[in-house]
Amino acid sequence: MGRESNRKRRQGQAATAREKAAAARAEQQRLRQRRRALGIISGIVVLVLIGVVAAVVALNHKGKSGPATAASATVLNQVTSVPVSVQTAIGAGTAVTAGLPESIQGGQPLTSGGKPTLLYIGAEFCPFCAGERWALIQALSRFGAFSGLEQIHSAEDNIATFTFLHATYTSSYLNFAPREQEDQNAKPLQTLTAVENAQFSKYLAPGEGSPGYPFLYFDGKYVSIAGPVDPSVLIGKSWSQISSSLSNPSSPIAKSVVGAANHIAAAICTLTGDKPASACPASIQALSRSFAAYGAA
Amino acid sequence: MARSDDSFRPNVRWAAPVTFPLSLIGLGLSIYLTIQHFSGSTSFAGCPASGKIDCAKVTTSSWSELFGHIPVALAGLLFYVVMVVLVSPWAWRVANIWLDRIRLAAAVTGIGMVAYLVYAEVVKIKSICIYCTGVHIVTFFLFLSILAAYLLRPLDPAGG
Repeated sequence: MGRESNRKRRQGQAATAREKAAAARAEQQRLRQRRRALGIISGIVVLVLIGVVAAVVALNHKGKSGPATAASATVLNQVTSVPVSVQTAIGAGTAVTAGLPESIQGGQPLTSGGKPTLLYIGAEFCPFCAGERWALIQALSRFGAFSGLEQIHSAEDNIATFTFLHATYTSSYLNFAPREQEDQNAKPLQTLTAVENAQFSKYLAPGEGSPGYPFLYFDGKYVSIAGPVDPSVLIGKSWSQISSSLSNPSSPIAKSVVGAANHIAAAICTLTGDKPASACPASIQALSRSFAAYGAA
Repeated sequence: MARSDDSFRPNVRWAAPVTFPLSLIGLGLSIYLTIQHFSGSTSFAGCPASGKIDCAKVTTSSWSELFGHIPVALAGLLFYVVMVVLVSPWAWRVANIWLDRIRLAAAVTGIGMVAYLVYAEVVKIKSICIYCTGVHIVTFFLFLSILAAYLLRPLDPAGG
């Protein structure tokens, strides 16, 4: 009887010891688990803090968009001397349909000096404006000549382009009124006249992205919003890489930029009465017949 | 005896009370950004256009659409709809390792997207959007909470 009692007591003590050992092991496992979790979470938090500091530094870094410099004569020569045969071969090209000129009814003419006016409103930081300027310079050079163009990189997407800030344009057929409304840091740069602002506001609000850059107003006959050039084809390319591609009709850059320029030229031709003939061949005139009515889409 | 099958391990008790409200905040911000996107509005309450902080510049930039077609705001909304379901109190009650892994994978996807979008804002666009940053912060804390819940799950059904 006493022996049996001792055996049960020993069994009970052994079971208690096993439970204590199991509890201790479980506690150790929990501690290890918590240490591991804490280590991983702490590591991530430290990495994110480093990332936040890097982001603040990057946000305040000026980058390559910096100051404008005079445009390269070689680059400009290549942009403005795309052969008519190449323009014809490219035709509509790969111009972005949503950014093509759209006809408007009852638009206010901005005619000055007996000549129609093409109004451009954009911003230096804007990548779509960066793309459109290549097409605009290409198209407008068929009707006149630029001076004072400067090279910049758009702050957004770092696209090699130009600024119209100090540019002047002379033509016997039309006026060009470029307005770089904001600079590389989205700070106000050039102001619009009341009439210009009225047109800009009229065709963008409501339902369109503001500030709606780039905006083209073809003397009360057409508007173009957001531009017909897809800027992604220009990302990572230098000015000379872009300009030297423009005379190659199979180049994606030429198809985009010259295709857009052809549409812009077609809209201008309707303002100038298809003058000069060299800028308004039948193939270019035909493009204007494909323009949709504003708001029809 | 505790079952060794991971599928039957319960989740930590604080997981739902922490992650569910976070996901609702993220969902609210995403709804607002999606409405702003589709209405074409560029007037963001409390978001000045001061250069470094400019919601309209960010949400109308070329980076505001994935693959040139899918609005980032809509992708964010879909992400938070999924997350609200995955971190709901009902979902946390389902102690299944695969659900935990799917939840963690979704959170990792979200934080990866946040890293990409922050890069786009600070390096490419050079401006930040307050509402987008709000979504990014919520997504980060949601990721941390889900990761912690995953790592700290009780080792046996009796734990907690």
